[in-house]
Amino acid sequence: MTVSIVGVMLQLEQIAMRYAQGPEVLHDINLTLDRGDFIFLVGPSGAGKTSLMHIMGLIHTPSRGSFRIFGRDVVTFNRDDLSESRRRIGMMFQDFRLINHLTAFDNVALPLRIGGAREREIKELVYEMLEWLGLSDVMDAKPPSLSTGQRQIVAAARAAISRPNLLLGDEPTSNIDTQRARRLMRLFTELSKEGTTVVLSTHNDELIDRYPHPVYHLEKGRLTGQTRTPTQLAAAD
Amino acid sequence: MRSLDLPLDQTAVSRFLPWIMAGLLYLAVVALAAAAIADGALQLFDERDKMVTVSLPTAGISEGGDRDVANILEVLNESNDVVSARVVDDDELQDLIEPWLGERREGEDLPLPRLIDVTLDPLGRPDLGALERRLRDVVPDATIGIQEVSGGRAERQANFFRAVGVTLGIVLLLCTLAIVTIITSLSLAMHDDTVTLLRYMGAQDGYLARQFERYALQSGLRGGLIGFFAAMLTVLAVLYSIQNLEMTNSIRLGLRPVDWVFLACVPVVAALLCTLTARITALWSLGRMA
Repeated sequence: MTVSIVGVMLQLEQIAMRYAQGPEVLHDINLTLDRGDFIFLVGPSGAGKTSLMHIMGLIHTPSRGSFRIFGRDVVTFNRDDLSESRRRIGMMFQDFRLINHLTAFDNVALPLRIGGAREREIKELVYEMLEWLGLSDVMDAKPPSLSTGQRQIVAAARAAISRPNLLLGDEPTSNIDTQRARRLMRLFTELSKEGTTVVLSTHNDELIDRYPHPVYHLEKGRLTGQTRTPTQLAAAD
Repeated sequence: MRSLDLPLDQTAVSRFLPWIMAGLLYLAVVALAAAAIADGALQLFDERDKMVTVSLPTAGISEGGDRDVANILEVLNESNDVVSARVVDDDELQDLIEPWLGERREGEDLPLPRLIDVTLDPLGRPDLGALERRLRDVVPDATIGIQEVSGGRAERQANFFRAVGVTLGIVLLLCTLAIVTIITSLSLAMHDDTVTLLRYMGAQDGYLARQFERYALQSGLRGGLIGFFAAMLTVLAVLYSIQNLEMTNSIRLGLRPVDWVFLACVPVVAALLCTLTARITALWSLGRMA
């Protein structure tokens, strides 16, 4: 599969989503993101942020609408195409979904191993990442023995380690201190500058205010609008 | 060695796989060893069927004993059914009778028969009755020692053990593969959440199947080696016991060098087959999963 990573990264048109035979949780979502875009996705609990993230992360299939990612319509994907596209996405789940019997090191290394990287390279990259994020002391610890904040950082590191084309973070800083949160945001920002499209869902107004990226509002399953940050608004005034 | 992505060595279903394989491989190797011993015995029976002993009871005490032996040898060498004939010398004769009569004391001169070991043509169907008559024309009390009766029964037993041993060995190996199939399928179901997560991260079926391959290989080698060494101890103990009961006319039972090589290959081959089985099972099951 030839992957296009120039220009439009993903394109959602009239996307709707329902679980089983239940009501639609997303309605008529239209969203286009280019390479290197960095956006926040905000909305109250139950608005559908996680469902939208899961569609973008190729975890769930929309019940209707058109979804193009990496230049291709997902309905044309076979199993191999789907796997390859997923390898280009870094997903940070709201519940982290770390593998409990693996160490922090091995959890972070997973995307690289799945991608077929050499062990030597994996070692270097993972050590560097965990050290930079302040987790070098707990590299050999397993998730059950880590604090919630540490697990969140490991999950973020795992999402970012392979420098994905698309990085999706569901509440990426909800359980960590300000200093670590800033480190994480700096990591995401650097990736964005290198061409990674970053989508972060958050309730953290301080985060939104501090980082002047477009903010998309989701309410009752609909994108109600896009705003700039208060700072941007103030600057515009 | 780094951990597998799936905790196969920690779940109830798969954690006992090495021990199950050790047990089955133990039984399989013992069965195949019994078959190999029986096969070796049959080979010796085959060879012994082609060997008879001509006995000249009075040649040892009569004045014309050497002449009688020479005449018998002439008759034997003229026979188309005889490949070779060898006179058993005094020392060898003493070794044969020693278990019954003890060591020969100085000055003791027992009247012993003269024996001639005769090798028959393996492709021929000798008429031993007719040969014995021709020998008696030359030396009236010459006899040919035939061990058909006891050899026949022993041969049938050896055939039986060989067939049962091979069948049992194959069945046990197939059972091992069946258990690997079942455990792989169950493990996939038990670790569905982790498998799904890995798939969300882009893992292909081959990557996931390799987890089961690696575990099956590790379990197979570990269990196989344990089972093999335990089986070898059992076989050696049994062989030692049997040899202590041996009569001089019996065949010496044991494992030939080729048998040792064959048995040593069994755990390795079993481990490789288990690895292949785990891979095929995992790929098939993953292909059916959404």
